[in-house]
Amino acid sequence: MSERRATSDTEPAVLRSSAPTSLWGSFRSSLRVVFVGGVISFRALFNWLNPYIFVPTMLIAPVFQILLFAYVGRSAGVGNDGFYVIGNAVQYASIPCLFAMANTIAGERFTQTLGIVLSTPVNRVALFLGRSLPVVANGWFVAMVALLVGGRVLGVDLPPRVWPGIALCVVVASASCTGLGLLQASIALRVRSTAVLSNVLFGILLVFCGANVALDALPAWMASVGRALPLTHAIEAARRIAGGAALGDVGGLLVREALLGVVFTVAGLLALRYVEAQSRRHATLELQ
Amino acid sequence: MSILEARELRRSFATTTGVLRRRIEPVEAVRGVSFHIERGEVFGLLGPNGAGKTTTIKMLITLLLPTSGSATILGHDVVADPRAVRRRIGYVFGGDRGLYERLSALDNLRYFAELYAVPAREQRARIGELLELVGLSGRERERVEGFSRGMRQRLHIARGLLHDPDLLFLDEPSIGIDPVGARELRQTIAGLREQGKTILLTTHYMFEADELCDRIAVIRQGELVATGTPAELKARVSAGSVLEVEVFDALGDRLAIVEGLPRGAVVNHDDRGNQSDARRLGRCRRGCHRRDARRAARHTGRSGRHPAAHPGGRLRRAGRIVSRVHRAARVLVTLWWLQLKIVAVSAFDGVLGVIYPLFFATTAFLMFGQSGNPQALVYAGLGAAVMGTWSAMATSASGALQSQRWQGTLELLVCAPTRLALAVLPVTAALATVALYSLVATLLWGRFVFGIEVSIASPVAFVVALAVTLASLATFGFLLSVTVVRYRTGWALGNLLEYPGWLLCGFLVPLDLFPTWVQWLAQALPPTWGMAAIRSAAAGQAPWGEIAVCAGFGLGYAVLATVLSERLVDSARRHATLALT
Repeated sequence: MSERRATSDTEPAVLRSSAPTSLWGSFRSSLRVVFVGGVISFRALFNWLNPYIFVPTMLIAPVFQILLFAYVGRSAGVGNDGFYVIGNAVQYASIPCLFAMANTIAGERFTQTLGIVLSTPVNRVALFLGRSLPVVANGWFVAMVALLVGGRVLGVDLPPRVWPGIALCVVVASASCTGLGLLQASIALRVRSTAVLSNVLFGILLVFCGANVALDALPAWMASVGRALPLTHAIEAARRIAGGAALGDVGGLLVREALLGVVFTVAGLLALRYVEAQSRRHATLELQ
Repeated sequence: MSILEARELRRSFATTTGVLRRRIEPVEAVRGVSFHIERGEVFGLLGPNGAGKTTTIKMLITLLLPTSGSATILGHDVVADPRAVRRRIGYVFGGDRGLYERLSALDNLRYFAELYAVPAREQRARIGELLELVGLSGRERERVEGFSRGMRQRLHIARGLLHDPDLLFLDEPSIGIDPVGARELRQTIAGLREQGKTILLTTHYMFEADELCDRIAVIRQGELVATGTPAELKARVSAGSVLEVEVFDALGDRLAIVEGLPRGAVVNHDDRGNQSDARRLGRCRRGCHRRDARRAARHTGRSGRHPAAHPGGRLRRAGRIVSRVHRAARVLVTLWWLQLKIVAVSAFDGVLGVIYPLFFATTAFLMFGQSGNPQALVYAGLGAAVMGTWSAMATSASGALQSQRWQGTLELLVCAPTRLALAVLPVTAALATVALYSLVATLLWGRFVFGIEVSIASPVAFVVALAVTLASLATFGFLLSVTVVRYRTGWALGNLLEYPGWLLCGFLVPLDLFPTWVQWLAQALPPTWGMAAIRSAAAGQAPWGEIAVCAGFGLGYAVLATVLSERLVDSARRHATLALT
């Protein structure tokens, strides 16, 4: 047998290992995983999100959510259209943020690539942060389109000067909600029902984050829960900016929103690490 | 030092049986497996399906923890030091999956090159050379979903080699590949062996292990029963030998040559049967009408005469009608029950599916509660309860059929001699059951959390109105879901209609708040009439007119969906969209 073994001198270049060993090399490769890997994985897992699906579920549905609650508000004789336009547009960012992050696990499970991805030595923080960046961008886009179209349909006039501030609020909201999505993704490593779980989290945000009922009008315990969730502070900040407040006036709200995002992201990464180890123990990685 | 050492590896699983009374039973998949692999060696793990080969590999590649025992790869423990192990191994498994279908081969390789930290400046050259190695040069920009199994498998191997692993795991790589593709794959593996790669290959083909492996371990029921070189193992078997001959187009004298092989050889030739199957399938694919195909399938195996020609024809015809109705009812009930079991297989799914509408109901109750008008709350309580059924029926039905597409069972549904409508309607009927739970849950939630007391003045009329509303919603869900048969994006239609349905059907918003044209539009939706009937029954007014219109719409949608389902199936067959995921 041994005569047919090639020595390392005769190995073709393609089979020589050249993985980075230095700290700088590892950092650079992690950065590439975040940016290049993040974009490729988004294309890999969300290529099915073609215009026939994206337009109805991401662009039209939020407008109807805005219309539904605006009309419920009219029917109940509470609130005004602007209140519901901003609340529901920002809250709808949770659909891409929650579902997409859960799908980074569920989609891999479906294509049976989860085992292959998790058997790579890639840094998990880089892997999942990379996957979250396109999700944040998508969440921002969906919410901004909903705000624009929903406002036009209901005749809510938002002057041009408030749009940059609102856009910033939506960026922070999408990022913090993606943190919650990351935490949920860790659960997706253990259970199969990721879509159901995303729906439930969406519902919790709908009730608690002040999208349709102001925190002041909620029972105290519900308002407290709402303040610990993503989106709540960003929605309030966006409403204040639309009402004429300067960006500096809502800085505290945005910082709180961003901090919540960081807390959820860190919790998500820790949970992912823990649940990945548990999945090896309980053989749940490849449940369909 | 051996490149891999496995010592007394064991792994057991807990399997669950039963739906309501679940029993957990342990199954020992691997029972104390020990072996080692030297550098440059091709080691084969040979055994039948279910012998424990894949479980063993999954423990070695760090995806599963052993229940007991240990294993090291290049001195790194697979349990304690998984990242170090992962850097040094490559993993390739057989079958269709494990690749990103909608990405090109190139993008699949680029992605894993990033995950394995292959430096950017080397990626292009390395991917190019690997594509050359596995014979996929020139096809790298095509989407993987158009690749044959053999091409996918070779792409898998290229992926596994991206980072030049010290040890390559090949888990049944030739499974399901045609003889030519399998031979090319074996040539690729033999090429790797020539280059000195260390490989652990699992297979259940003896000839494959014999051809490729330096040493083989035979595994059966989780235990290694023999280890040695192919020659040693063959020498141990002196009782006889198995010669498997695959012959294509074996006709006339060539078949006689095969049959004239030495004594003891068993020759099975099932050419004729296979050809007849192929002929039948081929004719069907050329575009024969589905009804004919269904009739042919139904009549397969029957030898009786045509009923009209029989002397006791009328009686027999009546009996046949009763039998058909009985069969249809049995199919409906059985599939309804099975679909319910699918929902109930995870208590998590079932419970959360029921409480999802509660979030919308809660929001509505809080909003109406702000108005301070108790009558408004009652209006919302009843409307929100029925509103939940819309999402369960209209939107989840298409989702349920979409999941059939994802699982690859949609083709089986269409192939069956039963009408597609009979197979799909129970899905929506099962969801109606879930919708009913959701409705009751919302009423109870409103009563006990928000103090909303919904009184029903005419209980009988209320029950009838509710039943007709659910039935008409089921037919509407059926109509939406049949689009999934033809279009893989059809499920988005259900999502698209969820909010408009909630908005327009009078659940929470009175129709007179909308412009006239919107009111007309709303009246084409069955729940608009159903909701009106339910409110009338609750108020003690006669709801029969609304019930009749609701039932009429439901019936109309059912007929439309049945006709449409046949046409969509034909269209799906023409455009080959049934197998798309």
